Amino acid sequence: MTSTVSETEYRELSNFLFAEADLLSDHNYVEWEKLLAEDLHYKIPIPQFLEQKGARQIGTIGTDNYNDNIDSMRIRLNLLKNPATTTSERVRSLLNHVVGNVLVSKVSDNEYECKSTITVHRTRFNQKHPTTISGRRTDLIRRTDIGFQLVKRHVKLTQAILMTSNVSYFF
Amino acid sequence: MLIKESFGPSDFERLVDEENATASRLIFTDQSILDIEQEKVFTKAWLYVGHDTEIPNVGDYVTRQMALDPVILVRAEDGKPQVLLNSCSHRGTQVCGTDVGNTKGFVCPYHGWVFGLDGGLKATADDMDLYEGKVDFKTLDLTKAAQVGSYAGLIFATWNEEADSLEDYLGDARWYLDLFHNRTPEGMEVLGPPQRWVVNTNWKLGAMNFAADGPHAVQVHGPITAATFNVPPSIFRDALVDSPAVSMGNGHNGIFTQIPEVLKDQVPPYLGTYPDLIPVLESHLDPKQTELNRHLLAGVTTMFPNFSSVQGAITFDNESLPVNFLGIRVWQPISATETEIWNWFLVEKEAPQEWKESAAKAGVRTFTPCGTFDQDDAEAWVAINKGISGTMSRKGDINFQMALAYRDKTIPDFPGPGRAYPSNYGEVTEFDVLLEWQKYMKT
Ligand code: FES
Ligand SMILES: [Fe+2]
Repeated sequence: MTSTVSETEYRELSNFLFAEADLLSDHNYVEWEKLLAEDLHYKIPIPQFLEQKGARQIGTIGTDNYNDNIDSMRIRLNLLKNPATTTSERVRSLLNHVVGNVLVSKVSDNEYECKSTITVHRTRFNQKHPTTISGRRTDLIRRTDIGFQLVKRHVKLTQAILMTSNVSYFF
Repeated sequence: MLIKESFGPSDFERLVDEENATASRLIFTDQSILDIEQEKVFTKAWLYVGHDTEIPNVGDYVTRQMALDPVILVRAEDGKPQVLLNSCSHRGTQVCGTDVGNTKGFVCPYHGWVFGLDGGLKATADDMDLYEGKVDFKTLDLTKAAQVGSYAGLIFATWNEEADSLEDYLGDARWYLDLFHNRTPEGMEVLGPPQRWVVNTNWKLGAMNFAADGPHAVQVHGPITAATFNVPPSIFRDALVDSPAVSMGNGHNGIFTQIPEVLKDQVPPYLGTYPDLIPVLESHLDPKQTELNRHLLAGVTTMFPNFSSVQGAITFDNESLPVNFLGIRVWQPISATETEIWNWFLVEKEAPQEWKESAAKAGVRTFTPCGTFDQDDAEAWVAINKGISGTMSRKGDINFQMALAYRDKTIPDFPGPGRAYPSNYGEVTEFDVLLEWQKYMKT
């Protein structure tokens, strides 16, 4: 079941995505973690360039940049909450998460599919120009007693070769 | 502006100082040295191009790099892998512009010349007769690698007709490659296409780190090891200090970190292996290989010049059993200070699908640009590049002098071939990559 949503619902879900992006740009992983559902699936596959004719896949599993459940996400977040434990964020990066093109549809009584675009600018200390990576997100967001929660996020990046030494942040 | 030096073969004698276990910083930053490497190392050595399971059928191809050269790895009609320079013999256009596919041949996008799976020129579109017989089309095939070989599913190629066979080139390293790539009757398969990212550092720093750099592991990976393996950094350090590092010959090196003695009672042997495959491993590998393999915590190797692999057992919930990831990667030089990493994960063909998925996740979460181990390594290599690029900071050496303490201490009764040293901290094997590099550069 997919149905359109009211103005109020659209506003609520958009606000959720904006606030969530703001937490990520602030490196506020304590609050961001609270927005994650226990059945989280966070996945960012690598894009492929294929011919129309003769297209085929390598391997039976595929390759991802991220493929996390709540347990592995918590391990990542525990490192990032305490930057002394991870060289890549010991000195905090400057981050700017820009969300756009928000589209919302209702897929069950309490769940919404939200599509949006995400562009993340990141600058490390000593780095002249930000690294910019963007993607198209499809989220499953659940309304719960304690507010909205992110259940699934699938991001199609617009970059196959990442021009950065590490991605220790989220989309 | 830094004054460019020009380097001849004799300069490489002093740029790596074997006696003193140091190397000039210039070899990691100077573009003219990278240019010399292209010719002296990358057109002479065997280079990794892909896995047998990436091109299972005739006509299957993938596009790859051999250092700066784009190539096509394709399964030709005779069923053998073939490596073709991805550059049209007409005007030089890349004839294949996708990552992966299946085809009967390659049609150049510019003027439509058609090449077979063996690189042979089949037709020049409909213009053939306009040449009035003045051109010998037989000379216009795509350039082929001089030799293509494979070992345990790993396909290598070289531009060097005079290179030793791949078997001889890998030599004793095959015994160690078997631990990761030839441990079950059916062998390994790739889980997915390669992941690629660019790090602002010299390719040799990555190759050396995987050859391998023991002393960085606690500093850089201590916290994540504690979080994923429940091992405090001090025990992790002891494991590294007491585990062997091996120079396998021909510049191939690695470390084989063992489960710490104090944990051996609690940790089952063959940690991270699919349980049903343990007896298979034991019967497939020889008893001496099994001796090294039984309590392996992690294995990290580099086959000279730029093919590395890393295996480790990891769990991300502290509840389920650890699962091994086996990552392989190529450090592709782009410039003296830019390296493109190509990274794949492998698993035993015999493992069930669910296990394969777990192995892929274990890999993605650890040794990739978004991985909890790799992201911190790359940070250090970039910092080296930043630290050695100035007028003063490029003078002087990079130091591997832990080797002075360890290089004469080989383990006499080690189960495997080559020279084995008693510690992952020794820096002997890491430095050996540069000694091999020096041999190539001096010729
Ligand atoms: S460049 Fe390839 S056909 Fe002309
Ligand atoms: Fe490392």
